[in-house]
Amino acid sequence: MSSLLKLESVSAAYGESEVLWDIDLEAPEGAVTALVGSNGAGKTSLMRVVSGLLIPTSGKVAFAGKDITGLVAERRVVEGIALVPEGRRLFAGLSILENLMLGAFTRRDDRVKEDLERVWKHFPELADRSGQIAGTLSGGQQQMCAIGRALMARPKLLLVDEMSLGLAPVVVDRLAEALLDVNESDGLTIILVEQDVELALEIASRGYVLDTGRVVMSGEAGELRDNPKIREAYMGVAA
Amino acid sequence: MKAKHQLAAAAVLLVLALILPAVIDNYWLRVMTTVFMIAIVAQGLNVIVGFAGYHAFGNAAFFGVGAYIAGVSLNAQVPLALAIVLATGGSAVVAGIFGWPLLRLRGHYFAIASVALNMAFVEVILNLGGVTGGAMGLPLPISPMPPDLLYRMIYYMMLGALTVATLVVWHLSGSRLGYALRALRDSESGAEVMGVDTVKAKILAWMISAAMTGCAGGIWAYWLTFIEVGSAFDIGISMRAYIMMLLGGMGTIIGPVVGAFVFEIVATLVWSEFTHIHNLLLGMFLIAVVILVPNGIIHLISRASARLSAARELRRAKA
Repeated sequence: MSSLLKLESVSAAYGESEVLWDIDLEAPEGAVTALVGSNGAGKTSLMRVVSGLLIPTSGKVAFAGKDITGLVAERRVVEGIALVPEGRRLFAGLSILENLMLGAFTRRDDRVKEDLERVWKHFPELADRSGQIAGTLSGGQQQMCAIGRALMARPKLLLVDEMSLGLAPVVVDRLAEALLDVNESDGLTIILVEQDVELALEIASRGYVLDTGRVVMSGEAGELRDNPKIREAYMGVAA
Repeated sequence: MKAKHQLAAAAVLLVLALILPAVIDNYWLRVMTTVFMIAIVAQGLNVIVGFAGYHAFGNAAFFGVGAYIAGVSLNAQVPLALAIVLATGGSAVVAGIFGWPLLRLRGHYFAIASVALNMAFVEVILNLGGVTGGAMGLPLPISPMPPDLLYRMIYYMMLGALTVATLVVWHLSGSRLGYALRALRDSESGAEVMGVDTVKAKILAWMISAAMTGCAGGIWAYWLTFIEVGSAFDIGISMRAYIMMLLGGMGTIIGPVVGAFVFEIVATLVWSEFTHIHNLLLGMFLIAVVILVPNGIIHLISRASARLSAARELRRAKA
């Protein structure tokens, strides 16, 4: 399987403080890749690098065979990268429908309506209240809206940052189901960033473990799940 | 209040404004012309502040730029209509040029930079004495029209400009640019990851805002027949327009117009009835507004009509 996204020796910093060191990462086309690690491991910073909100200090980011290292965030959306940010980050003052339509902001094709119908199908509770202001939704509904908004861009690569944070397990299961569905039906490539290591490695086929800004382990999701070190450090299971 | 309701209200106000000069005296004609003028400036602020969330405290800069472009053009025998078009377009171009670097600043940094821009323009005008009259001010050609007719014409010019500005805001509220601006007002980096070119959207918004403000400045210069930097670049113009926008409801279509009308009429009445304490009373009025109507009159009307329709639904359900 060829790689849709490839990071080579990527380092990044916020001003003086370096947060990522020498990251090598590949996201195979059509697969779900998990990026796991504890708080402060650099997962969100890495997502910011991929989505263009943080430009690396060194290294190379390639997407669909094209070097996008210096490309600004809004251009990356056009290339096909969509982000579901940590904490949902909906446009709180706008309605659900307006949020979803903003997801399709760069699109000029005539399939936007079709994709909107698909979001409604995945999350019928959003369809029932499409005019409601997004800031007044529950956490789970907000996450549905955030995922729906990213899908409206009809991306090639979907980045999902901390999907499960603060949500009830039953809601997380539904969101995971929706992601797996678009992955299987459309062959959408997904990078899932999670603190819930068990969940992430269950959904994904490959995984990367990040610690203090470095990749410390990578491999097949099944292997990582069975790895005693990971089970002890991230799943709370005694080795 | 929905866009179509606001537009219907605007149409009613427009019809009233069209017939008003037939029934009011010259004093009230002057007051109403001022209301329209400052409402245009408030509508201009609405685009950059209400939609984009960029607090352009120094937006009066474009009022002055428009006034001086119109003044210099009229002195060069340019016809009035063209002079106003030049004031409008020229202000937009100036906003485009300065917006490119300044709109990369965020929050209060931009607000302060916009005030600095206003101050810098004052210095430029003062130092271009040969063209602008410098500190001496700039006299404009006096119209040969009889005053009654001239002041009515200026009234309609201001009303026409305000109508166009309001139609632009209405169009903006449902346009792609409008979406982009409201998104970046909520979260700029959020808008960027949606694919919004935020710098371009902000520059366009400031150009539209400056065009409106410059147009009002141009007509004002023709009205006054003498302009000088102190009054053309008065930061008080921005402040008044700001209060009006907040009073009416920022980010709405007719909020700034309603705010301008209410504020200016209250200010005029207070001033004429209580000359010695008018500032005190006006201050108390503003405090009351901030406490009682923090989101503006239009939002208050929206809330009241939502409650009314909810009560009606309840009655229907019971029956």
